[in-house]
Amino acid sequence: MIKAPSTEPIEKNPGTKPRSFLRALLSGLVVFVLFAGLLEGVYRLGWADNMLPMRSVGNYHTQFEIKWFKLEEYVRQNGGVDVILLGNSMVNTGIDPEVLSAKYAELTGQQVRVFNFGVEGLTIEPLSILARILEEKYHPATIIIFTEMRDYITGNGDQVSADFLGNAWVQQQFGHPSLEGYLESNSSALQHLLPFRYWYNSDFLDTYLLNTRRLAETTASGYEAARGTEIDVNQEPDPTDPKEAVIFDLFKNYSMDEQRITALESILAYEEDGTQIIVTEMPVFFTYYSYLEKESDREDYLARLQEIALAHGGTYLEMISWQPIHNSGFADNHHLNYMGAETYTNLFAAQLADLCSTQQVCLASSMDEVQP
Amino acid sequence: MTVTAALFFVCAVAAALVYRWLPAKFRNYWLLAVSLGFLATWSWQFILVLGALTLLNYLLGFKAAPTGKHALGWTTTGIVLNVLALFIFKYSSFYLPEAVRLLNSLGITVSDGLQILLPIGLSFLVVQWISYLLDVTNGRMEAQRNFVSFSLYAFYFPRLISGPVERAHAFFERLHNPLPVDRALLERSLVLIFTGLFRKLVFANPLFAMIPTDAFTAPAEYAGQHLVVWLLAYAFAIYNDFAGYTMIVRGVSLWFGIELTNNFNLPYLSRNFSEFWTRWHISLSNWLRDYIFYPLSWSLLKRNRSQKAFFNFVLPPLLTMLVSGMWHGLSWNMLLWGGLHGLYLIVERVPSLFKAQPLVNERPRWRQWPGRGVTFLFAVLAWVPFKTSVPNTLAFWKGLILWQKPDFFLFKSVLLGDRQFLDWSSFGLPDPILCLLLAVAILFDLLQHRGGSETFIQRWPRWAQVILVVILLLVAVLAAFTHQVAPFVYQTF
Repeated sequence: MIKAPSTEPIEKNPGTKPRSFLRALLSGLVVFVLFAGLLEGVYRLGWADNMLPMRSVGNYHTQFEIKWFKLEEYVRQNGGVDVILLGNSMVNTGIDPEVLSAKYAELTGQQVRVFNFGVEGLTIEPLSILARILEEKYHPATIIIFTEMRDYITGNGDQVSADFLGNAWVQQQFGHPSLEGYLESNSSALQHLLPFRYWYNSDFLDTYLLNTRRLAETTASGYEAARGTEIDVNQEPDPTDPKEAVIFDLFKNYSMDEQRITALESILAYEEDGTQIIVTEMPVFFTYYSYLEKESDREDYLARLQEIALAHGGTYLEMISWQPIHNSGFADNHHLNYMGAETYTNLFAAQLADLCSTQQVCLASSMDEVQP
Repeated sequence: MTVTAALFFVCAVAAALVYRWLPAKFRNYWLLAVSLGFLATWSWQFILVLGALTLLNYLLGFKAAPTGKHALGWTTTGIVLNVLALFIFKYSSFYLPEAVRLLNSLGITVSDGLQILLPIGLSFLVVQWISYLLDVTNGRMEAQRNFVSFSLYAFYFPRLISGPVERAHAFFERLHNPLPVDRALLERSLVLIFTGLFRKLVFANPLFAMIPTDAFTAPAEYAGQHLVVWLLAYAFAIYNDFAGYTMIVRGVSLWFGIELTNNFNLPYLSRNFSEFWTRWHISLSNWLRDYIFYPLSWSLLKRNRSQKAFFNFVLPPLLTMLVSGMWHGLSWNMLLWGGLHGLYLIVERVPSLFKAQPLVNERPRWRQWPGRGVTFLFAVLAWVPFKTSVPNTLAFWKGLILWQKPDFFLFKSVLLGDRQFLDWSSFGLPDPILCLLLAVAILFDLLQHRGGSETFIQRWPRWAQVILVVILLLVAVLAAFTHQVAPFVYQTF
């Protein structure tokens, strides 16, 4: 500002001749394309899968992506999938498909291939989209949809839905093609690179490590055990606690959103295509019901849910009570931990076996052998 | 449309091809049409506002000619009107809530959400117009008669968003006598654009994103070692952001044969603050020097001829930098930022009161490197009020020295494989990716310093150039899948 611009004699390097940068750009482009091709080959041949185990289709929901690629691998290993369990985090941590499959075989003599596709935060609308994608790709004989009251509250989880559905890969599955969606669907190298797309976020390292751990801890059949056992589930939720207040607010003036009911009906519509749809709920600890404004809300909801399921040819299964599950089996008042999950899965297998013997609604092997 | 968008480059190439193809007399009409189209991608209302101000300054230019009656009065009127426009549009957040409250109290119902949108680039244009009027009235140039040329002085699309601040006579000279667009010029433009994109996409955007959103608003929540690294990240992010932008637009402008002013010359390698301001936002710094600092100094010297007199010594740098702060925003923190830089300039001149000081280039090398260190340190500290409010600034500065001991024991256990590597944050150590990127950004500047030119990568071996291109492509491709838009910081000024 005060003096004239600097005339500092900076060290020059006049000996080196300037090179054509246009050539460098073109060479760089060619090298990039070759590099991308090489990487694609390496990943398609499976030579580097263990080096970068995380994969992504560009969806913001990492857990969904973990499940998606686990299912792809499951189908590759087992030749198909018979039963897909759909729901939110309660399903994710609450049912071990291997236990379910073994118990069901023990009770009915029928072997079924079961996969847990419970994904955190997904309400009935994104679940209906997911059901469509899974049904079209894997043709399971049965989809068991675990729903709950919160699925039908207007506005609940809308942002999660919007982010999930806005993804180019999801749109690609629905026949809305784009270059981005195509690459995310078909490029193995890109799928291995995309988990690094937020490499510059302040929490990237922690998030990446967490996701890698979750990938490792999710079983081949999609079950992710919860370890927590220290929460006193007997304690009633406190409406003055800001975190709890959000849930209390959610249940105020409870009513079922018609648009969301339509989403459930769209899942039930697969009955017409021969896919068996079973609608049920995950068990919650009794203190969970403290969030409700009035008990009749729950009764009305259950009646409506059953009516919808039956009206569309689906099967409605009553929720298994929390009572046979020990307190220590709950991670919190609505999530089961690994102990609770084992108990519940056995009970659920028995419930399904009973359904088979009494109503002849049995889990069956899918006719389709799918190769992803 | 931002200047890093692929569509921008496609449109600019098409515009340049048509420009070359057209007969010379139609070229500026075409350039103006393209520029207005570019502005319309931001908002068509901006065309109306900036068009009206352009017309006003065009007419005032004739009145400001020294041969005319009341030239100085017209120039003063022009300056007042330009500053008023800046106040109305840029500082609306300052007065609008008060105005709404006043109107509501008078029974006139006005929505709380009343907003006045700041036309893109207005702050840069206002200083350009003021310098134009002053240059005309001081006889440094004649008023521009060609309205298309005058409009291009404002609307010329490569510099529209955030400058550089051009001097009217130099701009018109370049506009009317463009450089021949030969291979050498195109090569230079490519290097400038590439380096600009590299600075923006590889350094600036990631460095900004690596700073937690509340680092500057809740600094007490974080340990000093993190704040230090984030402040360095901010310093290099804002520098690479603005320097990257300038390089891109200068490169694009060369396609039309028009050279724009350079804005940055390795500012963090300055050896004192006088030099810093010849290397940081050079076009604005020169403007402030020529239209605030020098006139103020001369005016004070007329009253007291001693350069060592208190007011002669203190007022010019302090007021100039306060104006610079106000240009960036009408807030206490921007005034603090400007005031600090004014203070730095004063303090570093204190030794000259007692003994004539050699020019910075003539100082021994052993004094130059510590000078660089001290200048860098204080320039970086001044970025805190540039970024956040005054109370947060004070908390941040305090936090910089309150370090917490990292958990080296845990870190060692993980390194030795005794514990699982669950997360990085529990070590209490700065983000290693951020530190690595900072190191690369610093190295990039040092290489430019060693290369002696902003197009230094042109002299690199081909393999090194190719690696740079591949890195940029990889980062750009990954960034494209995030759908995150990272606007240039200075476009908000």
